[in-house]
Amino acid sequence: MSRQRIFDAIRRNRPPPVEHPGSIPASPLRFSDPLASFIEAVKSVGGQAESLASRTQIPALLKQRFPEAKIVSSLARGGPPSTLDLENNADPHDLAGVDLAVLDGVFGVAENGCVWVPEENMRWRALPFITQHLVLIVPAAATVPTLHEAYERLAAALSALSYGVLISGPSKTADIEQCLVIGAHGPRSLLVALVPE
Amino acid sequence: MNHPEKARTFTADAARTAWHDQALWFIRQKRDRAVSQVPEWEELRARAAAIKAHAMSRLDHYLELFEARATANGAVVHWAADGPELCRIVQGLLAARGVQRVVKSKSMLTEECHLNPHLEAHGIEVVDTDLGERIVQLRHEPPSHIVMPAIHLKRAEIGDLFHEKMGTRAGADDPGYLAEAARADLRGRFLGAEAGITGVNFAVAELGAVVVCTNEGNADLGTALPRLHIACMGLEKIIPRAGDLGVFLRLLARSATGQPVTAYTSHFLRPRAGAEFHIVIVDNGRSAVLAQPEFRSTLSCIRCGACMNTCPVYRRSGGHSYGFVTPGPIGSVIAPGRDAREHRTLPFASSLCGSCSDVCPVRIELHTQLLAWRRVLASRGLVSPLKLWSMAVLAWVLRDPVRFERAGWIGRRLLSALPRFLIYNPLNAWGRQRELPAPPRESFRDLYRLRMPRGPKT
Amino acid sequence: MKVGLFIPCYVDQFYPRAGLATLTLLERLGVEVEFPTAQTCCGQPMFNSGMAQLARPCAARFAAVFARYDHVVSPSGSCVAMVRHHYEELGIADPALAGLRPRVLELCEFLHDVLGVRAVQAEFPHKVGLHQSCHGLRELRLASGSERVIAPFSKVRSLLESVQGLQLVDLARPDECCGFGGTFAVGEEAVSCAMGRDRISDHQQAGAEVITGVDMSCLMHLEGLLRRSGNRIRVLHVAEILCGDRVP
Repeated sequence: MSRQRIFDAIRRNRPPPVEHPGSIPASPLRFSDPLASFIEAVKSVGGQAESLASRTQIPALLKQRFPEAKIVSSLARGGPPSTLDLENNADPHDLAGVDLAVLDGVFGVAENGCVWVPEENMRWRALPFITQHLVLIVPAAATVPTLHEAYERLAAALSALSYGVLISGPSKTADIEQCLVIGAHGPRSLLVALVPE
Repeated sequence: MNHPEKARTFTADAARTAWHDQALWFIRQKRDRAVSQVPEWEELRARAAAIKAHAMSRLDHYLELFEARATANGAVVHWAADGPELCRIVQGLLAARGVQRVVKSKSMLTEECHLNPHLEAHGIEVVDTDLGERIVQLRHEPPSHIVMPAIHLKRAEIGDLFHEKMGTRAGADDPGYLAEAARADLRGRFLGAEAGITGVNFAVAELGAVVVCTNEGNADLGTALPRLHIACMGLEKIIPRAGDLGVFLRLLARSATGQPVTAYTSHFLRPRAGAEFHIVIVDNGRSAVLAQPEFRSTLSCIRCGACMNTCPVYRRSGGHSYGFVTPGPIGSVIAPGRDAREHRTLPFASSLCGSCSDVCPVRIELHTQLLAWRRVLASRGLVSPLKLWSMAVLAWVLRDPVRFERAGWIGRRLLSALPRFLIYNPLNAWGRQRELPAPPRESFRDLYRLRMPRGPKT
Repeated sequence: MKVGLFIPCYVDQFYPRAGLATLTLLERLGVEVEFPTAQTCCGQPMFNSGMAQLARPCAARFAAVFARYDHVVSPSGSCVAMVRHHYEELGIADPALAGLRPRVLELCEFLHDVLGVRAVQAEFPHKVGLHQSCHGLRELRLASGSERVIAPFSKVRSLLESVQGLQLVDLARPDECCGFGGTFAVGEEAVSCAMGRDRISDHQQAGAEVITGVDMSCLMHLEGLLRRSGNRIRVLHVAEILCGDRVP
């Protein structure tokens, strides 16, 4: 059986033990203002960022930003009303027409504009990708400096996770002559709305 | 055909060579700007190398742990000793579920194992969904770069291709327009697919998790709609801990494209409700590399492509000149391990400038390994007789200083005396585009002896 | 301090001026220099072709000839890298060689690290492009290199900057390979020449009148391309500039 053959070969061939270098030391990459750096990073990866005084401002912001959106799927706390029933929806293929998805992100990462979105915040894994436009609502105070801190923060949650994604900007491609095109197969835009909590 | 011959064909189009070189140099520059933002870059590289060395030294343990955790998570783990077995496993999974249409995100492993032709031969439609891979798939050619599969193509060529295959306007070559056409076409295929195949960037042993990085979101769209996700990974993709992801993800995209991170870093642990998640772990020669101390660190490669972007030879000869699934410096040290005779010119397709070793985010000493491969090839009699013979003569001359001096004297006199057509004969590869140095009357040692009677100055 | 001068075989035969400049420069700095004529070659051509057994006699000769010196200095980063980094792989059981290897230094490295020279007495009123030869750069670490995230430095550049009237030009690609690469220059002739031409055009666009570097081999390749195309840019070994030679 291949499994046994592979393990036999590995045990025969493996080098002498080498120690794991251990946990990662605090990164010298420091941010005096992680939130400002996060916002800058979101913009640099093709996203937009907006700071709100409260979640109650979310519907108005989205109305102003996405006046054309017909099919809206919102799972975010304080988000706009959904025009698509996600909870009783039985098949992700029905999401094909979604114009705007509004989801809660857990935290942002200052160095690269990432937002962590676990499966429980999206109901369907397809939703943040199949939607034409994606809005992530992220607590401003939850920003971490680098991915090291991000994984420290996630340490307890990861083993219970089904699926989760770090999202940095809208979908993009540069496969045609290195020209950056925003909106490859996934969302054409990403708006990160920062809220107090 | 060997590398120098294919490279000669490539460089014959000087304008296109310059364009290709500049396109890749542009990415190298983006990489430089991105890494300069990370003051601890060199420390990160060292950490990554150390984590990989550790993981490889306990690979059996971590693979068992990964399998146990992934299985407990509800994934099904399969083992493939080689490419044909991977193809059989994947095709078996698809056939058992009556799958006719598959979408696939970027996976160099499945390229290596020729999965697409195998599935197509069994009547299954496979659509590569990474835009670059889709382009080369439609052209029926292999990727020329592991991160940017269509980097060798100009927009007009892609425009013509899309016009023929997708009905875009004739002559239209605007990248935004073409990408939009591909988006419309591929979104239909995502919705119609019955299974999604992905590669794996990192497999986290302690979590039983598979991490996939894309910019387009194609791995996620391809697996979030159909009821079957098959992830294919080489067994070297294992990293021990979730915390290690921070190290590797900080290195990967910055090295690959100069982005701070890819748009999507997706963590797959459990199947979706009502769906299946299978992971195929492939050896295909990797376990044998573990036994080779000088080449073992190639198993640390995270497939960022930085060594290609920086390689002055790759940039001026193109990915297809290597004749192997992974081109460039890393390909040139992996390929001869698979078939030394077939790929014997690749370790010589390098000036040994060492830039690859310095950009490598996991510190693989690529140029040292290229040199080590040359020794292996010579010991197996796989270098050309002409090279062997000329080096033997040179070594014989250099064995004795008097012989060396006489040979040098004769050589310099001949160079001065012989007519040009004899010196610049068709066998003189140096002289095809270059002049030989003008031979001086006296060698350095002649001049040194001349000034010695005066005694050394103090 | 007694210094053994190692002149690469092809410099001995084709570029004696670079050897003389090295000797003159060292003597002018008060160093006692000897050129042992029993030397031939470091063995790199054979070694880099994969034929370590053919390189071994060269290494044995090198050890026998140079073991008695406090330092061995050579106007070549590549040959020095061969001795310092690759002789170990030849498996020669000569204890003298192990002790000798770290004492073998490239000229600028010797000036900068051993003699502590920070400025030379020389004048060279020209625009100069510095070609960072790869083995000096990435094996001997004569400069920081554009790939790495470390504090920038360049031992060669700092010495050249002290030359009166010399103006270093800024290249678009500060340390790309010229494409010489030993037998690569012949085995991969097409790519080698494409690389060389690209280096030349970078220097030309930066306004260089002279291209210099620590390895005459790179310069020989560039000179071959320059002369074939009738380009007026000249090449000079860095030793020739540092000892105050004129453009020939």
